[in-house]
Amino acid sequence: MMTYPQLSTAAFTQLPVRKRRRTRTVVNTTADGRKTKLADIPGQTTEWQLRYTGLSDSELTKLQNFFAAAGGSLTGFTFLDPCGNLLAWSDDLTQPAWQKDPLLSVAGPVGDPTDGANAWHVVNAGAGSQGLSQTLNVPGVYVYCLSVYLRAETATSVTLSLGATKKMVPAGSGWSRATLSASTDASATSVMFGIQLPAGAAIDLFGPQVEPQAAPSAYQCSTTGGVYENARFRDDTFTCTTTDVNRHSVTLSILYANHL
Amino acid sequence: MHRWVIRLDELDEAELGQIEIFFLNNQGQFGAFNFVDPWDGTSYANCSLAADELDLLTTEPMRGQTRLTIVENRI
Repeated sequence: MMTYPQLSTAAFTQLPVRKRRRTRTVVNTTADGRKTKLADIPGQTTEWQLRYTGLSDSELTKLQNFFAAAGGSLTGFTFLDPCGNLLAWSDDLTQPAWQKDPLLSVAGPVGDPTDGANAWHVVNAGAGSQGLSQTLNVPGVYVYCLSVYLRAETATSVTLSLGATKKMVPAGSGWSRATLSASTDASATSVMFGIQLPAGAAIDLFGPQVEPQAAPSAYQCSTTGGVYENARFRDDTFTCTTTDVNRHSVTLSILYANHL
Repeated sequence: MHRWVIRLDELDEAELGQIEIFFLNNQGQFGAFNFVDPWDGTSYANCSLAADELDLLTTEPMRGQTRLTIVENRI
């Protein structure tokens, strides 16, 4: 499946960006004003309005070509939420979305750096490196930023993985945010994002986040993740305005419907 | 019955995300929750969002805005 293109700056969009969530509820209002409601979960839709300004000729061409390849609203594509965390269940490491090595134990939740209780105590009881990860169906050619808050009573170092790219980061007595920004195998259609602990290490971990950009933004808790397969352009018209030499403006709307 | 219109500005991405998850967990106007009136601290036990639509606007990094309407349900 095609994936919505990243700009040459590795950004998916520019600000401002508008995201609209719609749910569908069947409501029966009785004569005395009481309501009986029924949630229609498959009727949920999400829409993003992306405004680009100052696009170069090559960036405009990239968007135009992608719009043409999708046939406007005809064909679905994978869209990575520019306003969210691509990982699923970022506040619950016990969910099946997380692949954990067998000797890694996860306990919690415990206190986190935002004065909440959404961090996890992770212990590697094995004699070798053990880790937890998620594999997302996203193209390897894009730039991603993996970030996570770490703390350890006994100082240690953990390894962040983004596809084949790895980075060792320290974990000390205070909370610190570790980041890894990279692209990976250009031909890959899925990318593994993970955190590995050395033998015997114990850490507190909070706020794992993956974003389709070069640098991290504030942590956002997620449940469903931010990879939307079979999103579509809302419109069949591509309108651009040229404001100067090599400078263009475009506004595009992307729609994702749960039931499609 | 009470009705509150809550306009939120200057939200960072994490706060905007929390509002979004709250909206999804409630399935828009379907869910019911306790709401504490910010004027007088009174807790209202059976409230819902008024609409099935949530608009989240990020104008700059760490500057998001949205608007919610909460209604007290008739029991």
